[in-house]
Amino acid sequence: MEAVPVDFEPSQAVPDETVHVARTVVAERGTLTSIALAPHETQPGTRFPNRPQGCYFDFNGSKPNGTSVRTQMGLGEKSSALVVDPLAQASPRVKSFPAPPRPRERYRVLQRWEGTITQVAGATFVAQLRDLTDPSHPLEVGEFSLDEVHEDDLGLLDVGAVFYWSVGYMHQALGQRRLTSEVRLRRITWTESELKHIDEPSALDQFFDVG
Amino acid sequence: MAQPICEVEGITVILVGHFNPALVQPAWLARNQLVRDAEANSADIQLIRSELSLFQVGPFTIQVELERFVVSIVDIGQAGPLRDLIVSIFALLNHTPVSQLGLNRMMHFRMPSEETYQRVGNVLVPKEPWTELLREPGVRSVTMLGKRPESAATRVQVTVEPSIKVMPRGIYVAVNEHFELGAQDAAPAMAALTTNWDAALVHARRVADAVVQVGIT
Repeated sequence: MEAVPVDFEPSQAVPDETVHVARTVVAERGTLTSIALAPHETQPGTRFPNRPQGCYFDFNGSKPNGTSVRTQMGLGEKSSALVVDPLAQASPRVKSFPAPPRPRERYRVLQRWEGTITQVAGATFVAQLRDLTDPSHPLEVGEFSLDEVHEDDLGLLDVGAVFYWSVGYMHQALGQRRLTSEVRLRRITWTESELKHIDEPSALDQFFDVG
Repeated sequence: MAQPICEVEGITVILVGHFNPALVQPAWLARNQLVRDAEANSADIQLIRSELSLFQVGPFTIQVELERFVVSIVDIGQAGPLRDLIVSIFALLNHTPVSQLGLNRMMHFRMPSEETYQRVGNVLVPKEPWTELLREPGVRSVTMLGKRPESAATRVQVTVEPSIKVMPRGIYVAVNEHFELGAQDAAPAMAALTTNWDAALVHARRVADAVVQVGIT
């Protein structure tokens, strides 16, 4: 059976670790030329005979000196990635690379808003809130305690400052579910108007065009 | 009637261009006030090298390669901060050439019943043409290409698969909005990002909701 090419985009079909391995192969050894997903039964000697999905990834690449690199990884492989260097025929050299950080919790957002601070007074601040979950909702006004704000964000609090507020459930690894509320002040080094004007001709451009 | 529930969700932004992996690291982000100091100090650094940088800082997972820049979140409540972070990074690194941009929203739904779960696959890919050819035909993956109205994106790709994160009765829907930019610097990518951010995310969710709803109706 012919191998099926796999799009090298983040997808659940290509586990993060597998993508990471492929990219590490690229970074460590040269250029990745192809990735294929092939059924087990067509590949004798596979290292993953018991994978429920019955497939593995086959990475082919080339080193800068032109020699080829090939490595395989099972679909659904979750452990730290092992990369076998097939160029060492007698005794395959096995390298271990760190897997990408995996989230320990998962989140289910119930609602999120973008707020613009209109007043800061004492231990509270007032903001106009735009519903990001359903933008058709009208603007709302809310009052927040400064205790809601992370201490590293307090210096950003000012009238006109923008923040994001989300409310939802955090599901922890052991099955515990907690209702969470987070306020995060916007940190930017740009303004939207600056961005919009990037592609527009400057006064100098217009001067030379006219000239 | 019970409805599908989106139990796991994430956003990934991918930039293709020429990057400096060793430059982008938690301390640099904190120094430029793009993340909280506490987040930078507690960052989970997997690898920082000249060819590959990989770490988690606050809610952001960042992977920088020589030709790819990938930032992900698994808490959709951090969507706005994710956009701000990327645009701010490339406001500082504004001469970075970025040729492609991908906005990806991935969602894992749990269907309320086995029947509704099966119906999604049956409606998207009717089994009739396959029953003569295969025993127990089942949908492994469906990919559709198209465009989003009012978007300058080159294409929108929707992928529907059985979920491997939500089981049983889990359906995975990923929506990728892809921009071909061919630019000499980062400005067009950042303009595309900010212009399309909210609409692309809302559209992705609308697509996913519609896909799983075919199992209900």
